Amino acid sequence: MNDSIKITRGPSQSESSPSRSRRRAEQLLAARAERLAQEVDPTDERAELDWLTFWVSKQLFGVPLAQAHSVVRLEKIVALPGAPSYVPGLVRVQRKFIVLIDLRELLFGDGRGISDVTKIVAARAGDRVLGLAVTDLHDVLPLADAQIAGAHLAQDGLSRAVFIEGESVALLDLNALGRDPRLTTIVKLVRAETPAAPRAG
Amino acid sequence: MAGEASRELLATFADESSELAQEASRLVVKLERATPQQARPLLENLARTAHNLKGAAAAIGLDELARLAHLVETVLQPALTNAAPLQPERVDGILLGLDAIAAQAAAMAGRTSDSPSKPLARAFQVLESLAGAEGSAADQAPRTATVQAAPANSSTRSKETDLATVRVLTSRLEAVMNGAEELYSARSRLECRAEEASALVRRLEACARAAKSTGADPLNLAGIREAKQLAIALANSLQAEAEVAEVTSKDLGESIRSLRTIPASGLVDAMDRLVRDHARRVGKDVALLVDGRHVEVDRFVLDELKAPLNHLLRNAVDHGIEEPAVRRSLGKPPTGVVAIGIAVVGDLLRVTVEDDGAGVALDAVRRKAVEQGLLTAVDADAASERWLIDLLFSPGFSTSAQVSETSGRGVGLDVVREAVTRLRGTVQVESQANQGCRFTLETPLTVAATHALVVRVAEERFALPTHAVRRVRSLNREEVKVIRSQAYVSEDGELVPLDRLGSLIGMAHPADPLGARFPLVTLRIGSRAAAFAIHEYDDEAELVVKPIAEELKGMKYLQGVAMLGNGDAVLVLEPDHLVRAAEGRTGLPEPSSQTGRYTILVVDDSATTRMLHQSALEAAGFSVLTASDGEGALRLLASRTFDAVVSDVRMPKMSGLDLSRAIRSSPRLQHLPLLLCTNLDRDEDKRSALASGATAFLPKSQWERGLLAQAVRAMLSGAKT
Repeated sequence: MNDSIKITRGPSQSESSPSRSRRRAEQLLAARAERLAQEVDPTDERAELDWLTFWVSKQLFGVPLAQAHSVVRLEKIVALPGAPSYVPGLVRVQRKFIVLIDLRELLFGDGRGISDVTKIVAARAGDRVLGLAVTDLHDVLPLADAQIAGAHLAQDGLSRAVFIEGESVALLDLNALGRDPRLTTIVKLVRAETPAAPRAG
Repeated sequence: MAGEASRELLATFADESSELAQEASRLVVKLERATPQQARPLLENLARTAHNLKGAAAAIGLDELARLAHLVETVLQPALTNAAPLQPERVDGILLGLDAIAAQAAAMAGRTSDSPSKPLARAFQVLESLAGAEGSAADQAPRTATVQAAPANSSTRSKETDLATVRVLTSRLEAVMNGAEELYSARSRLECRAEEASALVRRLEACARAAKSTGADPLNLAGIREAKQLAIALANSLQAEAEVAEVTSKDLGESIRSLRTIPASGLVDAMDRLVRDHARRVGKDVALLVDGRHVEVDRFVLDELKAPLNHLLRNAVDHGIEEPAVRRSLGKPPTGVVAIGIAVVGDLLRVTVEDDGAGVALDAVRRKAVEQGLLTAVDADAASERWLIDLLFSPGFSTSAQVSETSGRGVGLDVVREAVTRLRGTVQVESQANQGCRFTLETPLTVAATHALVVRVAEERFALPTHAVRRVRSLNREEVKVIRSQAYVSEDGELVPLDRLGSLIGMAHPADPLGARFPLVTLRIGSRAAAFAIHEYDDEAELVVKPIAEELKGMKYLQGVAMLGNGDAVLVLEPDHLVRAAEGRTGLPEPSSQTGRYTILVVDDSATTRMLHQSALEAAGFSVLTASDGEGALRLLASRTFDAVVSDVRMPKMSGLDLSRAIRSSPRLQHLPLLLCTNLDRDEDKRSALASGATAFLPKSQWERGLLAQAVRAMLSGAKT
């Protein structure tokens, strides 16, 4: 199955036009609806799961397509002062403000920021919806459960690395991400100068 | 029979019986303290209430409940006919019966999964025993719907039934409210578009003038004029639409607000009974006074205030009011008084709960704070009264065991503040030893819309609810007073702390707004105030504040998010937190971890030293993780959030000095407190440690004396070691 997957190395310029991207997102979500409508035999050992894959800078990530809530163009980030660097801020998706996550910073701590982000994948993580900052969408890949189960699990338990045509794809466990303490309780970073406490007298 | 009653009838009966039971509870509590002259009309009212309940139950075939209501009437009868006082056991029986009826009705309407069969049986047993001889009459209680109509001239219920009313599910009301909130936003956006169209007209006018003065082609000039006419028409039309939208949204808002508004008695009537029962249980004599039952309040606000008020009243009875004998020995009347006051002050609802008890035992609070590692003994001795009282609201400070040792105030006080904060309100406490204690809760009258001042810091805009904005002005730098490294400004003769809004909320690089003259916003919450330097004030706005996601509750400065008229989103700041933070309430920043404990990273290549440091810090209440060198520390710092780092200097791979430099060069970590802790004890070692960016330096001689935890705490509080 993997032989048929073609990986585009990094987001291409031609895909960055808004209309093309919107069309792409619509196609991917339509594919999701079509696949969800198909009956799945739970006893089938060749069972596959569809993964929505996307680029964040030059790293490919994947989330289960069934947990992808929506894909929207990034309009404006509301900065959250004091938030950890993996939380660039809040974004408004379908009239709700959700927390935007910089996956590269959260998972790898490489701190490249999200200046090249053009889209948000809103995904269900447990009982919440998180916004994942995305450079561009890539594809919907059907991956066999057996292949995923055998893939290397990252130390933090949040992702599994699979190699497709030599490209590393970090498949996210969104439910584990939703339970990660760094995302369940986001707190203000320690302030440099705290005023002295007032004393009696 | 019950089974024949339709669901709608049962739901209506459940509502009615709950209201009647509540009304009866209020009357009974009044009866206990009434003079014989006052008792008569109260008894008559109570009898009517029981009678109405019996009639309503019988009317829908709930014969068992009708029989129980009849028993209540029977037990009341001797007091009515003989004008005798109602004995306490009869009062208890009556309340038991009415509660059982309400609970059974609620269960039958499917509102609770609890089975009230036991309370029902118990109520029958008690009331039948009380009824005695009358009990035989009770057995012949009407089993048919032969209901005697209650006198219409004095019953509250009969007055209500004169009005055409519709019961509406609050969830449906909320849905209408949400739609209205969106309309508020849409109206603001429309106003912005109208303003933009006016700006376009002005721009086209300028173009036309410029074209005319430069002798432009008449055709071009005509084109510009035509465009201007179109723009004027557009601006006028948008303005008219905006005006219509404003009037409509205001009317709609008012109408919905009135739909959501109910008298405060809905909140406090049940409290009469709560205080009475609780006082009896703990063997105290407590009278509850209520002022403001008729104040009209947003139902949502009222519902949210129920739990905090419940907590405060229980606390007042449990731990504020003294035992009768103690009160006598103090020269106080044996009956303690708890007073609830409800009033509308400006656009705020003010609820006060005041008692004439012992007040907060500050020494006990000091002792507990030290035991729990919240304060050092030195800090506790020096702490102001206001600061100590504030500690009572800290989560985890007030377990029941702690409460019994302290004055007891503290049970659920964090819950009180949390609930009031959800309403964007504030809690203030005043206490006087042996005189009593007063809690003042202030919340906006409605949660639908918030009037806010929009300010700018660097490139970001923030909204501050105007109910907390005391003053907006420009300040000369010379007017700033610095006392013990803390900046203050004078506000009406009072010195209030001054802080930079940007740095207080944690903006990474807020440009310094403290020029020779800078804009200043003063916030006041009750008796507390603080001033904040900003870059610019923008405008005032009516905002629909969306609550923040659960995972952001740790960002204490944040109240919510709202859309401005121009379509931009803005963070709405929490004034209460800002004022407290500026005051340096505890002197410590909020812990980063969910557990409420500060997490410290200990870095040392010696396993023994790591263990020693870890033990010392954990014993002081910190949570500790360790790394054996600077590189390992950086990996941990990249993946987790720490409140401070304690590091050795000499280590393999990466020294403490290099670690310090790496931390200071990281935008995320640059402000992280770092304590370098080493065997090196020379002045030049200390100098190079501080030059590398370390917050503090602790030589071996000091940490061997057990001063490590104290040094970390001092570093967290911002003091330099």
